[in-house]
Amino acid sequence: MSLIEVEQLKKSYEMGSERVHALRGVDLQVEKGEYVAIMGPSGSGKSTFLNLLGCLDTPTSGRYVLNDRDVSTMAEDDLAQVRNEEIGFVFQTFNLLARATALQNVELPLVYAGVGADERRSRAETALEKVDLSDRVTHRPNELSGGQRQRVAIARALVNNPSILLADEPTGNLDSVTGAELLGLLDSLHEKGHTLFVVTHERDVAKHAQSIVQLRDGQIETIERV
Amino acid sequence: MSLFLEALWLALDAIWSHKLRSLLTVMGNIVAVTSIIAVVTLIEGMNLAVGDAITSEAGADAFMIERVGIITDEDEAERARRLNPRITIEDALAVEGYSRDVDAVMAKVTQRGRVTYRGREMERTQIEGVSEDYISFSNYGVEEGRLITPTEVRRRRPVAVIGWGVADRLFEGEDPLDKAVKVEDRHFRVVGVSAKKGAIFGRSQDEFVIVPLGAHQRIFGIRRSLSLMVKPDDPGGMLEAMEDAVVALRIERQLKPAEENNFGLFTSGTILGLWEAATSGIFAVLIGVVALSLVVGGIVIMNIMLMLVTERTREIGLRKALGARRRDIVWQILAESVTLSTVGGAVGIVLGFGVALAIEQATPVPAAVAPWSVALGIGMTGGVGLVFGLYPALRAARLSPIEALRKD
Ligand SMILES: Nc1ncnc2c1ncn2[C@@H]1O[C@H](COP(=O)(O)OP(=O)(O)OP(=O)(O)O)[C@@H](O)[C@H]1O
Ligand SMILES: [Mg+2]
Repeated sequence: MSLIEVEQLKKSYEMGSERVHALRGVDLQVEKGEYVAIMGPSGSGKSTFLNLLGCLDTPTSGRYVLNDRDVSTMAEDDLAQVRNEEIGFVFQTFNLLARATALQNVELPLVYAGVGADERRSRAETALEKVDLSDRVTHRPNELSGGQRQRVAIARALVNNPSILLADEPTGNLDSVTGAELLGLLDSLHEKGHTLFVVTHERDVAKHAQSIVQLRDGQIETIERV
Repeated sequence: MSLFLEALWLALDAIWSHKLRSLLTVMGNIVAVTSIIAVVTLIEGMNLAVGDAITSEAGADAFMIERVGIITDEDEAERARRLNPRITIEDALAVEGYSRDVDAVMAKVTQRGRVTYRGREMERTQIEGVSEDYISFSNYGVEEGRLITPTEVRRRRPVAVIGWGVADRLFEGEDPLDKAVKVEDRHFRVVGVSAKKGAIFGRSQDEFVIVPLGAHQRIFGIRRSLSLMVKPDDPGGMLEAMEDAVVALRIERQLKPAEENNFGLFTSGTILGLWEAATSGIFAVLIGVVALSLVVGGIVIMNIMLMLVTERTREIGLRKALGARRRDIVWQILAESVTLSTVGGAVGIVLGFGVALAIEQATPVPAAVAPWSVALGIGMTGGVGLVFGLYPALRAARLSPIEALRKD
């Protein structure tokens, strides 16, 4: 069994009388430890696919097995638990809580995992150490640079030791230098054995991955080995 | 638990960073709790004062027999005033002689009169005549000098115990003991001064003169009805002693079985009961005012919470993406609305005590804290936060993480 098995995954949206088909049947298998880039033109369904992989959304039809569990038919609260235990998200716009410190932001998934305060704190500190932010623990997001914010987001994604790490255009809001630093960080995570999915427009970003999935009109056009 | 604390902390933080909005939101709660606390505190104060007044009058462990009892029906009261004979010393002897459960029976009569000392004069002072058993009742005592002895009472000696207020106003610092005061036109030697009792509802409890019953009757005549105070052997035997007293008086007055009692019997509890019935009317009005402001307050809180949920759609989506279950979101929003609502209640408690204190300062109405009213204020506003926070909380929990995150 692969870590991720996707069969004929479809997602369509009801827009008034019209149906928008965002994904029209996607098949994919990904092994543990792989680094996958998802590319494609705007509107091709990249974000939709990533959100399904991250259990943020449920497919209209098809099957999605993650870690031997069929998550395509799970109830909402079970999905919440899967997101909490198996998945780490990195968003283009960081999505940090403005009122909370870096440490509190990183602790958040552990709060919902029911981890006690002391352990939460030490694990969040370790995660911030991994992204090289030990000296910014008590800073709030507006006291951090864009690159630092994205690294806090990565620490938060990693803190609960998820099976997969999902990033939707993680460098989209960063300049090229900090973007390159972030890609270096993702590379090192890959080397440590994490499974990564990165959605991107840029070929240079995609080239860091082991395979590039090209989407067009809600379907996989090619899967390219780098 | 840590989730709850986190939610609580978030709630306090949010309230603090929007002080004015929070204040306006919980206005209804503040009004409700302020009025509860103020009214309850004042009524509690009056309860204590009235309780004191009644027990100092009737004694907690005694019952009273009077010509007209406590009758709430106006016509019946009128008939009793017309038909009931005066209470006499014979009645007292009958009650004392009939029952084995009775420890002491005292007779007393009060009349307002003039008291003078060396040209200083007090009009309409309470002059109380007491029979010799008065010594067995706890409401009489002296701070200086001594009580009137039973022998002095029996011999109708012209001696008096005066209240602290009489000593203060007539003697102005001079030692009143063994001085002669004039009650109406007769001289009495002061043998004791009572301890200061203070005022109830602005009325001094210290302006009285106690004299032997016989001496009182020499001044004011014998035609006035007496009041009897009866003390049972043990306070638990109050009911039996009261039944005995009724039988004793009916025999002595030769009443036929069909005839009603032509005298009144009551305890301090009877009077307290009347007072409580009166205050329960005030409480009924209070409940109306409070319920109305709580509902209004609750609706405002619900509105603000709905607004807050919209404001935080993205945050809620993020929390769900990170693993928050529906109940986690529900608890977070509920914790916030309950905290907001309860903070309003706490402000109301402080304001309510402030109002009660101000009224106590400005008027003779006393105030006393009733701990249950504090619990009630907190409990009620907490409940309002819970009830009116539920709909916004459920709305928040229903948000789909992806829709919520998409929103800018
Ligand atoms: N909630 C929605 N309701 C209706 N249509 C939607 C919704 N979400 C996505 N779509 C549609 O589905 C299609 C795929 O959208 P998706 O966001 O996956 O594209 P994308 O590949 O991520 O594009 P981009 O590169 O611009 O981010 C688009 O046509 C989009 O309009
Ligand atoms: Mg997209």
